[in-house]
Amino acid sequence: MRKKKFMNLMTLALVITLLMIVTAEAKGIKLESLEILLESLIIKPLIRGLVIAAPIGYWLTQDGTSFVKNFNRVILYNPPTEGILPFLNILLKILFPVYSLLIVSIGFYLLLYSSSPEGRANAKSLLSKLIITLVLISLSSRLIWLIFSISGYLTDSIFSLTSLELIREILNGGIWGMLILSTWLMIPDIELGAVSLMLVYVFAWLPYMVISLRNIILTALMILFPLGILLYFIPELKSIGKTILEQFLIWTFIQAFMALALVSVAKAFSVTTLVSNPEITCLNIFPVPGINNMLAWFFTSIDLGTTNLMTLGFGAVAHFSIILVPIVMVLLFKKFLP
Amino acid sequence: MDKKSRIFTLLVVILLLSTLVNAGGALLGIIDVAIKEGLKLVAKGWIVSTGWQVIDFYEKIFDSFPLLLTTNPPMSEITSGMFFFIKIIAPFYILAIVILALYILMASSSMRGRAKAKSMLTNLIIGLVLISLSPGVLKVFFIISENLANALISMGANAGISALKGASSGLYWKFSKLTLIHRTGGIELFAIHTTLLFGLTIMLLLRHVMVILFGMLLPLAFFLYLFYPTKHIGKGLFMQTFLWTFMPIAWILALVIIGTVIGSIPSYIPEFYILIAALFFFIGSPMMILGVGDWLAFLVFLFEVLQAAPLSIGAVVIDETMK
Repeated sequence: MRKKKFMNLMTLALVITLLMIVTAEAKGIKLESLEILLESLIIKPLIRGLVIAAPIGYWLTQDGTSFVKNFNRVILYNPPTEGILPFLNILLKILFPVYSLLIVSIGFYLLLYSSSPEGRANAKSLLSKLIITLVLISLSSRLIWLIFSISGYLTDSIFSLTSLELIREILNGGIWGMLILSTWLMIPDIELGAVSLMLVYVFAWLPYMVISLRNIILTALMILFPLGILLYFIPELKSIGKTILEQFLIWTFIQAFMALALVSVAKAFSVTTLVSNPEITCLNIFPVPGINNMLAWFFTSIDLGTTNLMTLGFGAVAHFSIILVPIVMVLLFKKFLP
Repeated sequence: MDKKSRIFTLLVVILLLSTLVNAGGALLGIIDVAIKEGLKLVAKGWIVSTGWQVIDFYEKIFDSFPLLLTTNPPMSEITSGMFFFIKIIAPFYILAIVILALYILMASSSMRGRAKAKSMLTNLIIGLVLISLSPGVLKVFFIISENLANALISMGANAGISALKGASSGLYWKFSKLTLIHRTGGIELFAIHTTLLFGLTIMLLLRHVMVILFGMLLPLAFFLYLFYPTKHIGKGLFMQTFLWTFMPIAWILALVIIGTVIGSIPSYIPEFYILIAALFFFIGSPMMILGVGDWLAFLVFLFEVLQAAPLSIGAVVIDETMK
């Protein structure tokens, strides 16, 4: 009976409140508190959660984690050597007449004009250089293939030093952990989660961008490779040829160092301990009872509602190491050719 | 109660309610403002409390500082990688020794050439010994680094860690106060704060990764160091192994310095600014103490960050106040 009375009273209060709101609206009084309640505490947080975080989460289950799913294949990929054949043919078409002319001139010089032993020795050395260059240029596509094979074999062997699944788990932990963190922050205010949300995209895109950059640079250097060989054997232009060949070798072997960086992260992850490894979860973000919590349902349904500092930290280090490796390699290995 | 009086009572109730509703509608404007401000405060409180949860999450790294700075990865994890590179180097090594020996025996005619080849052979043999000993060399590095770190950390590094925690909580309180003034007033400060804490976490974990990476490459470093054209690469790799192994010494030294300085600051200087400077000093300390990179450029960058944040926060607050 008491309960019934209470319910009646509550209904009456609700009716009166609604009537008051309707009257106020009819009088032209704008109820900003209602707006704030809906906007800041219910509607917008829900929109941020369900219209921003959840679709990004869905994207991560699909294309967003493409790098995580295929990292070993992506790192092992090298541009096809057939791509340089048309360029190589053009270069050879230009070079063969020049070479023939040079070899004939040196032959005539040796046979008819040369008198001093020093001059004859110089001419002979130039002749041998020309022949070596000619052979190397003709074989350049094979040479490139050989270098790519060595680099690919090395990379594959480095990957075998640890479990690929562990590396995948770390990369996955980093990107999902960052999304969980950004969801946490963006629910009350979108700007609060801006840095973490940006990092989600950085982790999803930047390794691909760096690897694509490697492939573009490598394709360009592959085209320049025969020219690099030629210039390397001409004393006056040696520095240009040296730079081309060095850069080609560095950018080729970057894949091995990327693999080594990921292997190191996996090894460090399995042996490093933290005194306290706090967790952050998508559960119980909402302060409004009743709505709590559709996001939690989404994240727990894909078994990724929680992250911890170790997983997040090493996941970020794994992604950043892919980005850092080319910089370190180019700085460390420059000017190694004689 | 008969039917007439019931209808009469109902009419009176409706009349009273309509009067109440009418008056209430007018009153609602005043109540609305109060409720609106209250709800705004709740929304701001939600931002502040969420910010706190995340900052607290990141701040837990401070508890792991002593452990992360005084330990190195176990050798067992590195040696497998080292042996992998030794296996790659070994054929080249044998080839180099055989070619040199053949050169000395057969091809060399001049005394100078023979002497040069002999010196190269000596270098190769020394290199061979060094490569075989590279796990031992790294172990020695680790022992020295760990012993030094343990000795230094007991000299008052805890005071330094407390100062860094103080800087972090100071930043959080500034963020919460700015957020209470205006909803988005503390956003930039929060972004800087979380970036700093996350950056610290990454740096500490990255050191362990780099020690493993360059530790595995140590045999290659010795090998490359022996040949003149690749000498600088070998030297670079060796220096990187050395720097990443001894980086905690620079960090602990920075913590000890911070701890000492904090205790001697005059009371008229607000502590918050000293603590923030300490936090930046800690991040930049390996670059300054070990000479990694251009630390002056790093300081310029820090200044940019420091001056940009208050300016933009000030702009937001002033802009909102003027409205």
